[in-house]
Amino acid sequence: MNDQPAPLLQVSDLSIRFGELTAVDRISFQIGKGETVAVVGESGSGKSVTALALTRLLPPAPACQVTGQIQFRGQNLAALDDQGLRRIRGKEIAYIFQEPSASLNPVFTIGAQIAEAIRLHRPDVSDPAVEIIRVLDLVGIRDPEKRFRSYPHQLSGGMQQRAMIAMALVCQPAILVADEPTTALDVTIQAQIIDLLRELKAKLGMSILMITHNFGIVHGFADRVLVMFRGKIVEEGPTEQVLRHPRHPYTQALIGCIPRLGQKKQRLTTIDYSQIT
Amino acid sequence: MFSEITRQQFRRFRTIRRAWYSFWILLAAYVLSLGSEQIANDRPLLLGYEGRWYFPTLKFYSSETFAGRYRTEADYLALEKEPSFEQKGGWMIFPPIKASPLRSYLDQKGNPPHPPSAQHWLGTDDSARDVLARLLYGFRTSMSFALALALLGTLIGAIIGGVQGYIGGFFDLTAQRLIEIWSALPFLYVVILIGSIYGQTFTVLLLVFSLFQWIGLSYYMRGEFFRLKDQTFAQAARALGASHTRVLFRHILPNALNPIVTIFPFSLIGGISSLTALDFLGFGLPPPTPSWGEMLQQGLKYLYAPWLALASVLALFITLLLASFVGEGARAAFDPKATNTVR
Amino acid sequence: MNPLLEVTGLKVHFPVRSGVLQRVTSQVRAVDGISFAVPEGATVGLVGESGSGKSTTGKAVIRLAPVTAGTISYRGVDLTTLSRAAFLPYRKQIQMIFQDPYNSLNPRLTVEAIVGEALEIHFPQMNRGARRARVLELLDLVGLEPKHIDRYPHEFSGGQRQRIGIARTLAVEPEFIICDEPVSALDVSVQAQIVNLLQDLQKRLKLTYLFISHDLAVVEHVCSHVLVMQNGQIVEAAPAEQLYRDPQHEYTRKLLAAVPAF
Repeated sequence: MNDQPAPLLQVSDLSIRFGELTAVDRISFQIGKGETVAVVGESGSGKSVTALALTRLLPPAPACQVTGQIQFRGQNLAALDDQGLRRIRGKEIAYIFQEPSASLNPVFTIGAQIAEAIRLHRPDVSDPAVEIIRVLDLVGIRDPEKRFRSYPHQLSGGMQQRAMIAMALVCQPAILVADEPTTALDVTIQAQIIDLLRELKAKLGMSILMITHNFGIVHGFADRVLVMFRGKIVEEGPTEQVLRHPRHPYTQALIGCIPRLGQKKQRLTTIDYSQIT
Repeated sequence: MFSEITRQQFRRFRTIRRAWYSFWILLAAYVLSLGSEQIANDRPLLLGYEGRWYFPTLKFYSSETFAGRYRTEADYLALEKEPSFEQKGGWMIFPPIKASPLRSYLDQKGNPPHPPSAQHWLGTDDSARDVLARLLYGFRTSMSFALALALLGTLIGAIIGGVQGYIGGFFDLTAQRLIEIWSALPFLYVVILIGSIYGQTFTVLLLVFSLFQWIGLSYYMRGEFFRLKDQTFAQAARALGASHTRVLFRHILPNALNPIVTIFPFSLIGGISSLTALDFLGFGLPPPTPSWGEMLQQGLKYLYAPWLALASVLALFITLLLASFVGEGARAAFDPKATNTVR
Repeated sequence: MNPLLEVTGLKVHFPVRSGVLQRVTSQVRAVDGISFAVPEGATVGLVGESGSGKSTTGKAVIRLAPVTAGTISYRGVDLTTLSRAAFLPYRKQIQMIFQDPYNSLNPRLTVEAIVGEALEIHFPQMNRGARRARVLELLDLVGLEPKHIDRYPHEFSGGQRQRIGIARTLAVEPEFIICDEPVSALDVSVQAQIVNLLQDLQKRLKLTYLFISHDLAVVEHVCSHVLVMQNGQIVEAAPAEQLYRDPQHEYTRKLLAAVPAF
């Protein structure tokens, strides 16, 4: 992973500022081909805006200033113009978000929305319907021929999330960016979606950048973990290592204050911020 | 009294210069026009005669007071020219506009409408009345009407819409259907009808207009109350044991005020326009009440006397423009999305 | 020992109306016949996924949801039979902490007004000065500072807002508090703080909790008894240790297995 073929995505010295506020402070990280990287942090850590900054989904300057390099397959995304970026967004780097009901247009059927994605990025596909059914089946939606014609509100939360994943996958992206994809879901559905992502990762060989605040999800799913705190990456490493032997006091404190099943304590530990900075 | 959020909104309004200045200009103009009698009048503000002071704009003095022959009100313009008046040590201080809106000045060359001159800065209308004076008095009438109408409409609309939204259910559905039927009435005909039965006075017109004005706001308030009554803080208040009245007035109403503030300037504009339109058609305030609509109508009739049309059109345009600046600024400043600092 | 709260055969059904004439076509059975008891001083957990009816149960006890059938006995008195006026004194004893810290506080009121409202309603004989003093006491109890009393909700973080909500609930001096997902919307580190606070308050003020949550790990930590709900019914009820060690019902097992553990 060090002097292997160049990483798929290489972020160097990324800083994101909103006026006076520095949300992200000179972070650097990389994602290799087929690798799953998790970014863990609490609210205000800057993890979500980092994900959005990759394909410039944040408000333009002067409201938001993004500096640094974002190398994707050798190309600097930060220097790309709008047209060039549009070719990357959705096709090479696809997103799924926390609230499927917010990203699925309620007046179009999910079949129509997936078809739109196909139309935009894969003009080579002759029969979109076949492709849509294939990808709906891939994400585990039963009766894809029927669901193809369903509207988002007719689907449950878990199914909506699967539909969103289908929309993201249909263009065969190199990197799937998932921003808290399971936070709004019930715990059993959450487990199903994580299983689905694991399956897809193995089948399609795509890289995943997962943003979450839940350490439990990253275990058994992500290859590497980055822990963010107040705009900086405070710890980075293989998942097992970070979870079992965290080195940074924030990571230690964060893991420490999570109640774990089967390990009932008298009192939960809390984070003493004076110890960290 | 005013929560921090409201104070923040006012502060934001202040930074929107265009709206802030427009607001003060309109306010100043209105307050000034309230004293129209002291600004445009054919009676002097102050009159000195035989060592005593008189205030003709405030009090009635018969011509006998000034050695005249009749007990009707003194004609001060004529009096000014009489030699005996000056001999007795008489002097007058007239208001800046030395004309009354109701008096016909037939002492000029040619036929009315007379073009602008030194005595009549914006000329006269077809009854030889001073245009500038009529413009000023008309402004007072229009603005007062629009203000009263907007206030009345807001009050009624807020109450009806609010109750609808809060109670909901069958009551709301029925009320909504009734309101829809009501709003389908041809409002202009109703005004004309009622005006012709009960007389076309300021009060009657105001009451009839306000019967229809409130409908627009009630839609907004209904929506706001609907939304707010299910907000967690309203539920929390009920869980605490708050009565319906308390929840309505303490929790829901203060949070539902946004539409009221943002709609108010536009209600004003609507009120001014409505009255002007009605006066233009001749179904509004009766002659010889000075009104912009009536002047507009004359302007149309006497296109060869362009000062008539120009004066009324410009006056209307500027007033409505300023009011819409205020409305635009109010909307930007009081926009709930901008104040909502939920992360 | 008599339980503080005893629920028997509780049903909360919401009618579904459709068609032009809005006739009732079916019922949403949010809570479909549940029975349980909460002993005094205990923390009973009510777990389930969305749609299980756990929140509706809590709301029914405090009269924010209508009861279709069944009884809710508090110290032997059936609350469902009481009129609105007769129920008012019980609002002093039974209170609720809400889930959403961003929405549960009126944005236009200061902290003093929010927390003091409870005092205004239930202790009308207190004058303004006495109320303010009591609010300061309550703020101290939940870990906030005196200077916070004149601030507005938007100036606080999620965890602080939740503390304000807790202070408001404590103002009436309740003995039974329904915690409706009190920490679900908070960051993990703040969750820990609030959970600790709730436990401390329980010890100090001798409170009884009905702790509603979907987070099984938190429930294990906080509760002595756990009830598992699915589709409006209780599928398993057991002391916490037993439930987590040896779950009986298939659904409970499924839930526990789905929790991402590390």
